[in-house]
Amino acid sequence: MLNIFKTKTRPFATLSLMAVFLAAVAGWLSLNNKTAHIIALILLEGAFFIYFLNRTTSRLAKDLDKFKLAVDSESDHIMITDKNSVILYLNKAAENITGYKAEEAIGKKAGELWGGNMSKDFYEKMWHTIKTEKKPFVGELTNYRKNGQTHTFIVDVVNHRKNGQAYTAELRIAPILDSKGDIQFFVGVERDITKLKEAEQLKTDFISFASHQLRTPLTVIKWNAELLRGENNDNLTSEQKRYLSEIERGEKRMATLINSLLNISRLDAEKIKVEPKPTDIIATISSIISEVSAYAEAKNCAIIFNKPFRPLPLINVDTVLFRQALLNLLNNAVHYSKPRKCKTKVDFKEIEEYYQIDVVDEGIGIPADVQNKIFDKFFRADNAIKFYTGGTGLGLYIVKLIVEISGGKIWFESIEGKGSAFHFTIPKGGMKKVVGEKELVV
Amino acid sequence: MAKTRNKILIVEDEVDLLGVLSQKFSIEKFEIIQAPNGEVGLEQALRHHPDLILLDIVMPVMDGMTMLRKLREDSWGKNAQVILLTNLSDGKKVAEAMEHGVYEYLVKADWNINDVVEKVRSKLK
Repeated sequence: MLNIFKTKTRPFATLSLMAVFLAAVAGWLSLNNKTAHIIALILLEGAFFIYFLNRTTSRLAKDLDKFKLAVDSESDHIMITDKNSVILYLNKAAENITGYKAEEAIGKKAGELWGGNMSKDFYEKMWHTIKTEKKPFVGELTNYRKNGQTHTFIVDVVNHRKNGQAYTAELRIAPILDSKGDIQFFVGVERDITKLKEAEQLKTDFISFASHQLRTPLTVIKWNAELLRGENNDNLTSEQKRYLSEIERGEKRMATLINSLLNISRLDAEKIKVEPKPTDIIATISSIISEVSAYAEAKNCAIIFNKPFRPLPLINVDTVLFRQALLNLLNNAVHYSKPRKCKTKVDFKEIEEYYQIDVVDEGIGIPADVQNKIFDKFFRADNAIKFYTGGTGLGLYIVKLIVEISGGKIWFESIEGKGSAFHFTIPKGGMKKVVGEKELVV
Repeated sequence: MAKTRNKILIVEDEVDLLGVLSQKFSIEKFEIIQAPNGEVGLEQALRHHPDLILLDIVMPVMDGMTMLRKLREDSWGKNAQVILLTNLSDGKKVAEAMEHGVYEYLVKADWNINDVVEKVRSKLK
């Protein structure tokens, strides 16, 4: 497309040379003739105009060449289509990634070559965004190379290279509008993130594998400790009983950690299923609170549940996931509060489209400078580490994954030394159903 | 062996788990037969006709599901009592086992050993 400009500059150059020549001849022939003089001047001015026009045009062409070179050699796949998504241009990276040469692709649509493998919904959403809303679209898709084998990814969309091999791409399409706001072109930029995805998958698989392998020896420890306690408890000295309790406590802590890791590998890989069922949410919250209350009482803590005044309809909730989320928040609230100085409040509210649950404590709080990291995997604030060394930094991460996968939001306010308030929501219509392969490990 | 003693077959390739289970059940006055894989397990099952089989799923040589299928082909084995010892990832296999008449399973890491004994006892009543 950009070549047009290059060929157009040549006639201009010829024309301007001719004009300068003509002007010179005319001026020489009629040095004393006024009319001829004027003609010569006009011709000369014309010649200069054409000369400058030519210079500007060639500079423009040079600039365009620069742009073309830049776009050509960019490592991301770049494609320009007309408003009907017919390909006008494909850069070198796109040729390499898709396996199609620009000559093969120009005049066709991506859907006929490497694309068109994602769900109908995906494309509908994409076209709606770029054509109707006229906004840039960002998505993740799997493509296939020209011919050949496929990869094992399951991602939102599927494209393929010319050799048939699947690749995962992060896609951005922007509509290019004219001054009237009408679509002229689409510019699509795709980054091949296959390697990144493979690395992520490998990490998830490893966590899953390692956690499974760790559970067997842990079971051996647990069952043997139980045998020791069961058989000889009367023969054990009080010190030996204490050692045994330590073993059991260590085993429990390890089991909890392994379960958290397993859950994260499942949640991260989006393998978890969300199966909402009509639930009496108030009764569920009460029972979760009573699970924590023994621990809370041991610390001389109170958990107060402010139930709503009006009776609620049954809400579609996956109780296993909901329990895990609320349990983690409640455990944190009690855990990171000073004994005798801890009052935790649980509120349940209806706010517009959502039910909102608040867990408010008077604990150690989250320092302002790390508040943006508090939901990160493995992150623990300094004051939390000082307060309790045994935490994993996984609790809030899991809560966030659970809340978000089921269509809710989570946020908090916190003042160091004063306490924290965590809020999360469930859509009024209930938790979003997700068809996954696995359940949460509890 | 005295008739009053219940005979159980434990098929488990993890030696440590096999050891602790055997120990516990012998304390609880069960007669124990051990097998480290499905092949030995099947052979022992058909020879000793235990009252109940605790069967691991993932094992070398012959896995638990294969052993279960072969067991069900036998005239005694088709009605034998089986409890599956599973890991977390065995959900699909548990569903498959149900087609072979096994409705009892336990996820090893989640159970206390006393509860395992209770479960076995309740099946033998």
